[in-house]
Amino acid sequence: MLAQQLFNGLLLGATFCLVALGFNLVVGAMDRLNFALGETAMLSAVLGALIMTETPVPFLVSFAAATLVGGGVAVAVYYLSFRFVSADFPTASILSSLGCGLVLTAVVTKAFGSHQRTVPDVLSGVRLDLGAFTVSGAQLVILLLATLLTVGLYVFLERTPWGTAIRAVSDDATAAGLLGVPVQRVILLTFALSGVLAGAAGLLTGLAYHSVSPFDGFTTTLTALMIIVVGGLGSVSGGVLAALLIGLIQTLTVAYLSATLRDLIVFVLVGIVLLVRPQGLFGRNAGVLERV
Amino acid sequence: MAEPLLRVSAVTKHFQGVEALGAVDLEVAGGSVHGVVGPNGAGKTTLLNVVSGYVPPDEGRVVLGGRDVTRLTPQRRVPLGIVRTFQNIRLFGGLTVLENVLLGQHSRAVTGARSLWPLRTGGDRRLRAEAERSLELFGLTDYRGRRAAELPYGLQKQLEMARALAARPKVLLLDEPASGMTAEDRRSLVPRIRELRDEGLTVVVVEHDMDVISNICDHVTVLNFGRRLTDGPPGQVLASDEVRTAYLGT
Amino acid sequence: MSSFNEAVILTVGINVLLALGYWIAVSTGKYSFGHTAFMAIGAYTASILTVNFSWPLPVAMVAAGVTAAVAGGLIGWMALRLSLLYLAIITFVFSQLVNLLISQWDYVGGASGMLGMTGTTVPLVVGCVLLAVGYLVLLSRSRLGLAHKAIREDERAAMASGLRITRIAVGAFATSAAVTGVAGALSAHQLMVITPELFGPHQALLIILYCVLGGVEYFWGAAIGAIALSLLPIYFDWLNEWYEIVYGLLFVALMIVRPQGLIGRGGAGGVRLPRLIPRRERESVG
Repeated sequence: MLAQQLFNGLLLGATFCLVALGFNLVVGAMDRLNFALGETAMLSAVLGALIMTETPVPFLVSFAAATLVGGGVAVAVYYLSFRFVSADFPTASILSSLGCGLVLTAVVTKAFGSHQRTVPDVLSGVRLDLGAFTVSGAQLVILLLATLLTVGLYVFLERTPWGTAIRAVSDDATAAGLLGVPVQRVILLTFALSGVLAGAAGLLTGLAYHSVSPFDGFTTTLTALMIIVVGGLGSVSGGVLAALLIGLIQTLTVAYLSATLRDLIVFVLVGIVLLVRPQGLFGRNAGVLERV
Repeated sequence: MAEPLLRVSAVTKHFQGVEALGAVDLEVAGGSVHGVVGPNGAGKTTLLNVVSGYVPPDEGRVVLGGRDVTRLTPQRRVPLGIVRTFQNIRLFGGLTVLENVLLGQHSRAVTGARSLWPLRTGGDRRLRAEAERSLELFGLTDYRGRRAAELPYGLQKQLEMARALAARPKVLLLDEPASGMTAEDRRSLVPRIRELRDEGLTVVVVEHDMDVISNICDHVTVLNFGRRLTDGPPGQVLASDEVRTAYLGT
Repeated sequence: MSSFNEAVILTVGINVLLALGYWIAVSTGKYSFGHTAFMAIGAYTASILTVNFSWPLPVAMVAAGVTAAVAGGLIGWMALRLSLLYLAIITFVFSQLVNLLISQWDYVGGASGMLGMTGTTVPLVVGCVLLAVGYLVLLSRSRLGLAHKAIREDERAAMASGLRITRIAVGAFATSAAVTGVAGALSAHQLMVITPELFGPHQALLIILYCVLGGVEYFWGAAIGAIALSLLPIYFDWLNEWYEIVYGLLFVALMIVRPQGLIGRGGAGGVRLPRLIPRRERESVG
């Protein structure tokens, strides 16, 4: 029983992790938060679910479509809320992306209705019995795809020229620009990547819960922000660990305490982290004003 | 020597493993102009940051007039009399020249609910008149209503000093006051600092320009690689072999 | 006065109060993304006191303001030590926490809310707005107001001038929360029914939009923004159906064209805000 819950928790954490990574990529590249990323994930999930129910194409096709939609929306948000918004007003991009999120939710409810939508099961015949716990087909798919994307992102950032460019821009955009890194294109790439991750996370979360709702975007953003606080703003590995931690906490709370306490315990954790270690459990002192 | 007004003892500071200051001592006598010199990267600005409270030292103490201020924030050191300027000028660019000086008086102005009273009333009238006089002294009266960011560089430097003096400091810390100034401005800087000293102010000045240093300082401390190399009257110190070696590498 | 006109004045007045309250925090350069939390705290505090304890509304409003101010002070104290990005995250998360707590608290009706609050009158609302305006007129001409502007301009320079920046910013945040709490109390006693949903993210965005549309440089800019945006949906019915999309796009367009708002100086140096994350600002060792 416990092993099963631990596994479920890590699985939930793995999907959280994707969105949190998306947020952190943008924070790294621009020191900004894209508050529309949760809604991006929601839109991808709704469209993905629509393809799954309305067409006979295999799941991987709908998944690819969801990630593409996510990447496309994130690029659009980049142009609307970041590219042409003056850097002198740091909160302007947050406001603007919140506006984008509002529009995305409204458009989805107007176009597809505001009801919850069922996400069909995948690989429903498969069931792995590993003794201590069992893994359903859908869980297997989630685990594989989430791991693939996280590891893929890691390899991309560490081993490829474009990944190196992203890390250079994160570290110091001005210096990277002077060294000939095409900063604007790199930033565009990070937005696209963050959207792809968000889109994947949206559909995979929908798969885990068997449903998506147009109002999920907001919850997704909220969860991602809490992960970022716990893991440390801009810290990629901190984000991964915090996502897994929060996934575990949520699942275990629902299993052993009560469903109503699920979010509350995470809030308490966030509050404690902010008071005791404001730089995040795994972060360095990024973001903490030097107020000696 | 009598008990110094400002005493920095055995201050050590590391930045990510690099030693910026290694057990540095500094004694500044009241009413003197004290120069801190050294090549780039010697730790001069870090020392100033430690004294003004922007950088907490790893070890060591900062004592002002017998009071240990090592753990105080910069804003709490201002009312005690430690006020600084910045190497790259930090003005309130969007506020007017006069407002900048008024803000410099903040630590001496009314607090609590009374800080909501309009600026032109009561005890504030005296401070306001004082601010106007200070603008006149620094040749800024014509610009009083202009935004600080619109001033030419030299005047911004003047304004920053006017704002610092508005706090009525005991010790004024100047971080490269002559950098970026025209030759003419530099010439007017020397008598101004002397004037301040004659009025009883203690000045600590970090500076590259050896002319400025040898003209205004009563005492000079030389830093190199975060250590105090030597210390003494300017004529003697600047002529010493150690200092020549540190600067010229010969 | 017809009841329609009265309702319009009440709605507009409360929204102006919300915008003015928000402006107080913004005058120090600190943007909250969850001011609805303070609105909800004020609304529920006052409603509990009037409905369950039969307190008179004005006294309950004072209690609402004080409770919101305490919450604002605590959140401000936690968040304002950190960078602006953290402030955004913390206020956003806090408003959700408040929402969650209220919707799970049976004493206040949980998700279905409370009802039976009445008593918001035109003189009460106008009186509150006048009080807030009076405070802001004083603030704009005082040393405290100057200190707010200084913190907005450059925190380090403000520290160098001896401004106790954390104390001033937290004070501004708490005052802002208090005004927002009072507005929440008034709103609850106008609407007669309150549910946690009323204090959700849409309302949070509306408050910011009121303030930002008019321009953050002068407080009356915020008031004008609030008046304009509250009147539009009253006189243009179709807006009610489409307001999310219209207001969302308005945000996007405004931030590209005039991020400082419609009123106020343009260009660099107008309303410069400090950099979000000062970590890149390395001290030179030289």
